[in-house]
Amino acid sequence: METMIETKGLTKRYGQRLSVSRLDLSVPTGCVYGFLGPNGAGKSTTMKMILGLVKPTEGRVKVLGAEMNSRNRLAILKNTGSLIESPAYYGHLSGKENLQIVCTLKNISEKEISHVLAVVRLENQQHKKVSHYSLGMKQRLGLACALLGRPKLLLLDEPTNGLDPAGIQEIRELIISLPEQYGMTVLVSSHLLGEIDQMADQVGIIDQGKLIFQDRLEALHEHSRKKIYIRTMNQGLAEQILSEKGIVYETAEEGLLLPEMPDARIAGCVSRLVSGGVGVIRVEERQKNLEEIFLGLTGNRSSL
Amino acid sequence: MREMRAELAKTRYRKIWLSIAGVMGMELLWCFWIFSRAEGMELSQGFYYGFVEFGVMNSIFLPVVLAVAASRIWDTEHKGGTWKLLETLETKDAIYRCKFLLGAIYCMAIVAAQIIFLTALSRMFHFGQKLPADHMVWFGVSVFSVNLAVYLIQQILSMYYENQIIPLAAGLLGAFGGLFSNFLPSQIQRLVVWGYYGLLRSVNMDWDQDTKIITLYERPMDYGFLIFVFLLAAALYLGGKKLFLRKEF
Repeated sequence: METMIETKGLTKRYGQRLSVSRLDLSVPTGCVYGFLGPNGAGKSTTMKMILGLVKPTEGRVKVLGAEMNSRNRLAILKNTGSLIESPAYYGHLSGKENLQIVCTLKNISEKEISHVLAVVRLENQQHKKVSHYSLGMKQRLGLACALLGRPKLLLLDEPTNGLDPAGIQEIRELIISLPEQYGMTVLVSSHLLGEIDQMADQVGIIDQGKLIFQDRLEALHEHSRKKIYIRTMNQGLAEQILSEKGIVYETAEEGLLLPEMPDARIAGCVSRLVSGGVGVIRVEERQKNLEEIFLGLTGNRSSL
Repeated sequence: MREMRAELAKTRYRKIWLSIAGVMGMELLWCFWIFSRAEGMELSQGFYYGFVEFGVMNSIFLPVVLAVAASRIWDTEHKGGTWKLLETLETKDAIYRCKFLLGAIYCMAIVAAQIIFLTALSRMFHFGQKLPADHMVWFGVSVFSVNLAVYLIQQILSMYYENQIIPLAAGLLGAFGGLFSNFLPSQIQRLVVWGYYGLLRSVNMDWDQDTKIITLYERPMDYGFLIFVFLLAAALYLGGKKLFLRKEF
């Protein structure tokens, strides 16, 4: 199976408001797919439609090679695990008892419980009531529930929300290991660019309900062109010299941005500036970061 | 079956049985006190006296205890935000059905407890009356039917509202409404579901203020109305299910 999830023209309308518009998502098998977008972009709604929790207004969803409908939904979801919006739990029960309920419903052996508790590192807290867990522990319990039964597909909606940096790193490392260690495909949504940058192989960017980018992470980075940043002690004179030589530049914060050029040409520019009496104090190669790429793609309409 | 097992596992530590047992205990104590003061005339119709007493207590207590039971069963999901998880593991139909079945078990347990209590009290206080099997069966079936209808109303409210204050308040108001409707004409009583405990009683009581004499007399068993109550319960089940299936959590 080449793709784990495929959507065609997926749309969700709430009254007059278009929450998701004609989404053609394609999640290849065995990858970590980063589903990126600002708050309210339609990430959670899309994931709910993929799981059949919300009925699409238009379009279709294919999961694990089968088109999802009300008759086969649960049979397909037997091979998926999910953590949507906030972690689900029964606070009056212990972590282990929560997992036992999920095992009963998934019709799987309770022997799996000790394994998933080890994976998310909750073995020492398994007998504690979940209402006494921290948010990070609840997130890890939610992840453990999703991992029960070793699903082929995992859908995680902002799994690092509310975690401290150590917790975020732990979850991130776990997610990265899942395809290799367990053969899982992971669809993880986030509004944090840095997080997706560190986790994902494939990226889909959604903004105001529309999919504006979908490709490998490397392809997203290729959107950014390198530039040469030069900072001088006399910007006005530097600009004059470069203009006289026909070199195109942009002004940046306390310096100038030149387009990417061969090293010899850069050296020539610096040489001309110095011989023109301009003190050159910085020469750096700069590349747009993911945030700048994102803002560029969304036309600066949205921020994360 | 596994959905039902999971549902039962969720009720652990929720003390639903304790709430029911507490109320049943109070009813038993009340009846114990009543019969310990009863005179020969009342004990000679002990079962009839018991049906009347349980009928009054049911109007007061059962709407509240059924509201508590429905609230504990449904609130378990609201509190932990488990709807999205559950819907990936079982059909909404199964969720609704199992929660109803659990409530129905409590409804049945209440009836069973009252029948056992009345039988035990008859032995303890040596009722002069032989066990009236037809009235006992009518008592069991009629109380169960009203329990189901009241539970289903509470189920709909507890399912729909995340804040359980609303269904619990409805249960309290229902108890008051049911009790007071007993003093109203039967046409108005029929509009208050919580008052059906009194309406379906097969025995009634008259108390003469001057002579202080209690007279117990049989009432016709209204089979038509009993069927209506079961049909009402069925309509509430189907209506509630439709609401639940349409609700997006």
